Amino acid sequence: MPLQPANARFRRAVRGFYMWLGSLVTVAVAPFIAQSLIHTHSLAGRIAGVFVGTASWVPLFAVSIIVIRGSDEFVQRIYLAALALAFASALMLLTLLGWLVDAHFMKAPDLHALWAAFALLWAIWLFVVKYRFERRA
Amino acid sequence: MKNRIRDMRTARDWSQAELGVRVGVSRQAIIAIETGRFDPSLPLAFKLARLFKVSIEDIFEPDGK
Repeated sequence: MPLQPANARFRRAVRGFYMWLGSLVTVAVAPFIAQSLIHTHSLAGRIAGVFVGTASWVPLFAVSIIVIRGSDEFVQRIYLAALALAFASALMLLTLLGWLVDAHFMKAPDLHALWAAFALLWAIWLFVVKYRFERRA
Repeated sequence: MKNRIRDMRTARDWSQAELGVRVGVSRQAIIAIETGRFDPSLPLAFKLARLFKVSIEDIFEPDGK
């Protein structure tokens, strides 16, 4: 494999960072746009609101896939492990909430809070797995 | 899995980042392999063996051996 110049790697890293940032801003801003569209109470506005709110995750997923595909096997292992753990944790959280609601310990939770919780779970597991693999002996 | 990558790398006076560039992985990957936290794939193990001009068995040794 030819050696890649340091500035090329730096440019690639900077590009990746701005792609992450852009996708995160999209996820953060889209709910406000979606809410304002839904509150127009027109059919078209409500449909557009649902579409904008849902599609706002697509750039983040796309960037994640680009980053994972462009990474070496070590980083891919980290992402794969974090995704698996995040999925299992999210499933357990959903199950727990479901049973708590069924048992009348709580009301049905706000789905908006759950989306944030899922994203947070993924971020936490990514941090934990990265730390586990990368800390020095 | 135990390995001799750190010894072989330092014998050539290469940094972890430099070795990573030579075999197409990140510095973090080299650190993780050297410390035994990550076992490389077979293609990466072959790349390392070719780079150091040794066989895979000369670099890696199973834990139970």
